[in-house]
Amino acid sequence: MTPAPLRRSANRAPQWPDPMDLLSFSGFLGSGKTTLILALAKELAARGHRTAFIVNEVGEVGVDQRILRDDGLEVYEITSGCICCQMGVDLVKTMEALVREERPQNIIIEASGVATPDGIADSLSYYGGPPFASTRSIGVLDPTRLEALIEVMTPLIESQIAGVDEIIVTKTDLATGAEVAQARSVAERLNPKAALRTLSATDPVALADLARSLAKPGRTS
Amino acid sequence: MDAATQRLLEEKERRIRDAVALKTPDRVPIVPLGDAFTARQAGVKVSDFCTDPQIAYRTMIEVFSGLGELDGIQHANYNVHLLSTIWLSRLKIPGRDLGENDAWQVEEIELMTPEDYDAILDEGFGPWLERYFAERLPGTAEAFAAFVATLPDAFAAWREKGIVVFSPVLATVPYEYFCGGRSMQQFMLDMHRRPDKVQAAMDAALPFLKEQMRQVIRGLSLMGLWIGGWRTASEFLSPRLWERFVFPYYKELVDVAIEEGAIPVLHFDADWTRDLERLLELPKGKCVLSLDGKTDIFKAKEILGDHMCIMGDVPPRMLSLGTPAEVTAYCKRLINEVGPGGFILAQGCCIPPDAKYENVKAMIDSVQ
Repeated sequence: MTPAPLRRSANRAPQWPDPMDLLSFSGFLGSGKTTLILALAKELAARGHRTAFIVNEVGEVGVDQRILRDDGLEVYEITSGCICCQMGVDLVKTMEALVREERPQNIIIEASGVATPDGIADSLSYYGGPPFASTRSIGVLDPTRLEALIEVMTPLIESQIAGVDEIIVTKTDLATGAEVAQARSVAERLNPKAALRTLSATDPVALADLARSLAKPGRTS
Repeated sequence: MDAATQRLLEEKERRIRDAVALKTPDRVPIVPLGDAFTARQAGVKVSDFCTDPQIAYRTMIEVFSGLGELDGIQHANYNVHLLSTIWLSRLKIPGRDLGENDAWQVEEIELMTPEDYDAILDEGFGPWLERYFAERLPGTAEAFAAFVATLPDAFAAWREKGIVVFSPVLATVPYEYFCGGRSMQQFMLDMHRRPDKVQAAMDAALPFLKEQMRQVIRGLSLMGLWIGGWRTASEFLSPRLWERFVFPYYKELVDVAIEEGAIPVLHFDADWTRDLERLLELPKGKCVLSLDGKTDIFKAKEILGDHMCIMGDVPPRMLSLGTPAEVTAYCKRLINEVGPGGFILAQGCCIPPDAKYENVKAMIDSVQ
């Protein structure tokens, strides 16, 4: 993702004790984003990273919040009355509040299942907090439903994948080999420049590897 | 109503109708929409605002009357249960499920099942819908009836303030009902797994929706109404499916509204840029295309400027996070480049709850 211009922060001195990394995940409803992010966030928390997680699929994580907080992970829900109008505003205000109050090292945004990386970047152009050391966008593809969704929702699936820095094909424990191969092929066709990995969110080794790659300091996209 | 107010209303209505007919009025009309924003500005609890239609319209009138010289208002009143009536979804309601000043939420879960398509075909859409509300969304029909009962008083109160009630009712296509009821995720898969069944249920629903819209236009003597599109937007759906499940149904609703003498306001949220040219098939000088900031409004002007009045599209986030100078500059650009003829200035979608008062005022004042 092209880093958002962060135009309001440009006038502020970047006095900040720790560099913050911003990760945003996009992918259609049910693609496995929440499962993946929660597993990843716990992995990061276990490594001592202060991580905050912003989710705007209403109701998806509410019951787990206390458990996550016990794991050292702050969860913020964005609650938009309408599917479109308010999301960007809430995202910016939530980010500014959590940066001010929690001073996390990592912020993970789980975009709505109908949001695109471009839309998120556009919203973040109004972000006025301290600058990020790096921003990185990740597109999530569910191989078990990809054939159906790409037929029905070509524009949305394409815009959720095109332009991201990394594509993760999830649910490898549930998908057939042919489905995973097809998902890889779609990912390579839509965004040949993106890093590509396949994993199952139930595989601790793969998650640890992902956490390691995303938690490297000093990355820039 | 005194004669001066009556004359003022006629002048404003003429201004709006001229814009719809692609003429250049004496100035660009301003016709905004805001709901929870007015509650916040008036210090009214959102929980009261969104569940009591008397409080809602009085609050809206109080706040908008103080914001400047409006020509019209899109919605005259508000009730949160309206969302269930178009998306067949449960809601999280402030004061009941949420804090009393939180934003209301549509709860996107699978409330309608695949078997409901058969039930619609067997029972007819009207009886099925009545049963659906009674069994799965209890209280919705009653709340909606109470809301509708307040509309004549709300219309009169706005008119007493010299503000035209432009598009106070909303209708939409079967796709939006089913997408909300099934949940977007399941509905998208339905269009892949059982497309013929989905289309048959849509075809069964459409006559009911057309007739319902016709009766509402007649009963309330509407100047215009919203024909809304949210998840029908081009940015979501493949062209072949959009052609099959979306556009033909909009055309039929638009035709009915025009037959009844009402102005269809195509309240199209999200990005419709890909399919703007298809809107040339709708009657010239009769409709309004209302955009929310995601469709390229300047491209819309290029394609549709000689065919359809365009409304919009001050982005909601600019109203919340921007400055009055930014808002004014954007409005002037809209007036000059999308207007001055065939254009109505408004926010994109809806003024957000936390919009800054001075930004909304800057938008309204920019037409003067």
